Amino acid sequence: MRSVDWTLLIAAILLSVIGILLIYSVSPDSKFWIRQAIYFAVGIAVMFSVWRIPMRVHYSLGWIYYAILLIILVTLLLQGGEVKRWLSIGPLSFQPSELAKLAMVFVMGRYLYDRKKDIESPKLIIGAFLLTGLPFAIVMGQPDLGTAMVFTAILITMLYTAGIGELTLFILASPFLSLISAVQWIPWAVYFIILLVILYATRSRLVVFLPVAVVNLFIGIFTPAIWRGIHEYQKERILVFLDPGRDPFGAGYQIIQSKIALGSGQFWGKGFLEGTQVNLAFLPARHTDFIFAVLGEQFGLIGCTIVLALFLIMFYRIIKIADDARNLYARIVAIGAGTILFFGATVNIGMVSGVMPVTGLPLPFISLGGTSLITSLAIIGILQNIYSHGIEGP
Amino acid sequence: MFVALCAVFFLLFGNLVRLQAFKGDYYYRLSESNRIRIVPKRAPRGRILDRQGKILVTNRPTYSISIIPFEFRKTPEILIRLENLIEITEDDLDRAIEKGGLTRYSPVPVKRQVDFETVSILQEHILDYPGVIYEIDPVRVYPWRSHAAHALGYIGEISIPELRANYTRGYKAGDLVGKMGIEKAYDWYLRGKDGAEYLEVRVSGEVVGPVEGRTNIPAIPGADIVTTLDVELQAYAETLMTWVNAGVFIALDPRNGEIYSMVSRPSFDLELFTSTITDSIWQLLNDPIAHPLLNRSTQGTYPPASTFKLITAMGAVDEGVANANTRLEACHGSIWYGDRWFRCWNRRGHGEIDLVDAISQSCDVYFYQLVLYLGLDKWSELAKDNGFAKKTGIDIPPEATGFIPDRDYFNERYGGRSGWGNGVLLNLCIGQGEVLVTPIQLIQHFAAIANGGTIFAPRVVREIRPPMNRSLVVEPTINGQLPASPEALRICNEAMIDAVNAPLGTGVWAQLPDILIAGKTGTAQNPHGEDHAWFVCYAPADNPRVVVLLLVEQGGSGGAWAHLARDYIWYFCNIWEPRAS
Repeated sequence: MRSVDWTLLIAAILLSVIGILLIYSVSPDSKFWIRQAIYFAVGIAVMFSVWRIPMRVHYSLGWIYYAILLIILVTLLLQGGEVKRWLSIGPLSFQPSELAKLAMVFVMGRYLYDRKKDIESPKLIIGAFLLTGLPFAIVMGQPDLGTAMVFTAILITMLYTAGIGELTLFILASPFLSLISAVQWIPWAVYFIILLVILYATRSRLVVFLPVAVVNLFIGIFTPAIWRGIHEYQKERILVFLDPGRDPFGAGYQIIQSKIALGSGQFWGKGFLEGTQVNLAFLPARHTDFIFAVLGEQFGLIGCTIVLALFLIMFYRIIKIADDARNLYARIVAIGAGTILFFGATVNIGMVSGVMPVTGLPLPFISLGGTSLITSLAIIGILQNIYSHGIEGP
Repeated sequence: MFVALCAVFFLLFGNLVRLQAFKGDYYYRLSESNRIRIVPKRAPRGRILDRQGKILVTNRPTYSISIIPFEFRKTPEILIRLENLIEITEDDLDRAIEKGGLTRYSPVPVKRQVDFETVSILQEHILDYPGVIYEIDPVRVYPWRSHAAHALGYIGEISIPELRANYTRGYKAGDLVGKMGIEKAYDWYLRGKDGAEYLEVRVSGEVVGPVEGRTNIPAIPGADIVTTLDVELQAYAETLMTWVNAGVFIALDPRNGEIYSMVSRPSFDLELFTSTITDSIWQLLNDPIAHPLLNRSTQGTYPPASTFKLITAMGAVDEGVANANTRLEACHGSIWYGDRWFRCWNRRGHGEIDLVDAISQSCDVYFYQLVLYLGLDKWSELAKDNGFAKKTGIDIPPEATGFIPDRDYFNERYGGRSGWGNGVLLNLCIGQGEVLVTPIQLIQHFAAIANGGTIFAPRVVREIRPPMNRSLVVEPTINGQLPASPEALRICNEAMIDAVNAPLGTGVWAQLPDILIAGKTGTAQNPHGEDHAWFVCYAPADNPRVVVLLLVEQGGSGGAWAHLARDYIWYFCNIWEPRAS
C-alpha cells in the first residue's frame, strides 16, 4: 500500500495558493482573500477527511447521493427568485451545482460498475443517459448551462473508461455532430457520407445502421427548418452564446475587457499588485469567473504557462491514478472526478481568453468561492484514497 | 486519453501566446492609457403607413444627452455644470442611473430632445464632462395628431417591469417602447436593432478613434408597418365622429377583416406623448369617466341590444322553428310571460308580422316568443359560436372578452334552478340583461353575415416591411364559420335591407338612392343615463365591400345616428373606391 501522491497534492496546494494571492491582488483591502484562505483551510480539512473514506462507502451510498442531489436541485428550482444557484441552510449558503457534479460521478460509477458485464448493451446506455438526463434537465431549467455541460462530459468520459468502444461512442455522439454540422448543408452532407462509410466499414448490424442513419438524416433535415422557425430573439441568444461580440453591452463587454487584461500582461506580466487597477475595475466577475485574466495581466504568459502546466501535471497524475486503480469502480470514479476539474479548467480558460462561450464555470482551485474550492480539494482527497489503494506500477 | 488532453491544452496555450506575445503591445496600450467605450447606435424606429403607403407615423431626429455611469464622476463642479447645461438635478441624475442599473457600461439617457445649441456647447467642452455624451435620438411624429390614436398607439420610455420581461430580447434601459396599439403589438418589428460603435477613449474623455480589430455593428432600422387603415377614410370617419362625445366607429372589409377606419371617442392627441407630459394633462388622459386612453372598440363592453336578434333569427330558421314567413302571436306592445309583462320598444305594437318584418322593425315581442322555441342552452351555444364571449384576436391587444350568460351562470348567481325562470332568456335574446359585447366582436359578427358566413378576425396590419428582407404579408385569420345555413343568412340579409329601405324599417335614415345598404339598429338600455345607440350596416347589400359599426354612448335610439354610417358608405363607394382603384 502506498501513502501519498505528492505531485498531485502539491499541484493542488500551489494552485489554491496562487488563487488566494490573485484574489488578494485584486482587492487587498477587502476581506475576499481572507475568506478564500479560510475556505482553503476548510478545504484541506475536508480533503484529509475524504481521503480516509474507503471507496466502498461511496459505492454503497451511490444511490443515496443521487437522491440527495435530486432533492436539492428540485428545491432550488422551486425556491424561485432571480438567481437559483445558491442554497441557504441557516447561516451557510453554498452552490449545490458543485456538489451535484460529484454526486453524479459516484452514482454513474456505481451504475456502470454494477453492469460492467454488459457494458455495450443498449439498455445500459439508455439507462446512463436517463440517469444524467434528469439532473441535466433540472440545471438547464435554472438555467445553468455550464453545469449541464459538465454532466455531459462526465457521462462521456465515464462511459469510455467503463469500456464502451470508440465506435459506440461515435454513434452516440453522431446526432450532436449532425446538429452542429447542419448549420450549412454541404458540411452536413460530407459528415453524413462519412458516417455512412464508417457504419458500413465497421460492418454494423442493420438494427444499428438503420436507426442511426434515420436519426441523423432527420436532424440534418429539420435543424435548418427549426432554426428558421424559431423567433428572432431566440436565435440571437444562441448566436450571442457562440459569439459574445454580438452583444457588446453584455457578455461581449466582459470578453473585451478580459482580453485586454490578459493581453496587456504580455510576456512577463506587469508584476504582482501592478495590474492597472483602473482597468481591472472594468472587468466584471474578476474575483471569480474571470480570475485568469487577473493572472494574465500581472504575470503574463509566464504565469499563465505555469498555471497551465500545474493543471496539466495534475491531470497526468489523475490519469495515472486511474490506470493503477485497484478495480473498475475506482477507475471510473477517478476519471469522472478528474473530468470535473479538467472541464472546469479548460472551459474557464477558454472563456477568459475569448475562444469559448461564456458559461459561468469557475476556474477550479483558483476562483473565489467556497463551494468550488472545497469540492475541488475533496476531489483530490478521493483521488488520494484511490491512489493509496492502487496497485503498484511496474 | 492523455494525448487528447495535451491537444486541448496546446490549443489554449497557443491562444494565450497569440494574445499575450503577439498582440500584447496593442492590449497593453488599451489597458494603460485608454479604454474602450461602446456607444449604442439607436436604430430608427419603423414608420407606420396607411394601406396606400401614406405616412401615419414617422420620425424626426433630435438629440439626447446620456451619461455612461462607469465613466461619469459625480463631483460638485460637474454637477453644477450639468445643471447649467441641461437643467438636471442630482436627484434626476441618480434616478436615471438607477433605471439603467442593469449594466454600468451602456449610456443612460438623462435628457431627451435637447436643442442643437446645447449639443454644440457640450461638444466644445466635452472634456469638462467626463462620461457625458450626446446621441442622435429619433422622436416620433404624428402628422394626423388624434386620428386613429387608439389603433396607432404611442411610445414611451421602457418601464422597469417591461425591461425585466424583455431583457433577454435585447431591450435596454432608456429604450423607447410601444405602450399601446400598433406601437405596442408590433414593437418587436418596429424597433429594429440597435448597433454599436467601438471607440478608443483617453482617460480624460477624449475620443481617439475607432478600436483596432473591432468592426462596428451597424444599426438595423425597424420595419415599416403597413396598416389596413386609410388616411382619407380615417379622416372622414373622424369628421363624422366629431358629433359624438363618446362612442365608436369602425369600418372594415367583410371579405378579409381589414379595418379601414377605427375611431374611439373621446380621443387624444398622440403628439402629447412626444414631449414631457404635465400632471394636468396626465389627469385629463386618465379621467375616470371619459377615459380617453381606453380603446372603446376593443376594450369597451356594452349590451348589444337589438343588433343581437339575428342570432335568435338564424338559430330559429336552422332549427326549423321558423322561416321567412312565419307569423307568431300579434304584438300589442307587450307580452305576459311567467309572472310579468315583457314590453316591446314600440308601445303601440307591431301587429301580426313575419320574421323578416320582425327583424326590420325590430319587434321585441316577436323575438320573446321565438327564442322560447330555442331555449337558453341553444341560445348561449349559438351566441358563443357566433364569436361572442371570446376574443376576436385583433392584432392590437388588449381586448375585452365580453360575456354570454348560460345555465351554469344563472344557477350560480340565483342559487340553483329554482331561483330563476325562463324570463331571463327573453331579455337576453334582445341583447339586454347580462349580455356584454365589444364593438369589435359585433362588427366581426356582421361582417361574417355580410360575406356569407366566414368569421374573419379583424386586424389593422397588412404587411411588415423590413428594410432589407422580403416583406411579410399578413394573411387573414379565420376564426371559424357562422353556425348558419345560407337560407338563414339570406333571410337576415333581406330583413336588414328592409330595415334601411322599407317604410317601417328602423334604420331608414341610412337610405341612399344609388347604393343598397343593409343594416340593423340597436338601442341599449343604460342604467346610468340615456340609452346607447348602435347601428351596424354593410353595403352594397348584394355583394358587400364595407361594413360599418357605429356606437354612440348615451345617443338614444340607434336609428337616429344611422345617417353617419350612410355618409361614410356614400363617401366610400362614390369617392374613395373609384380613386383608390
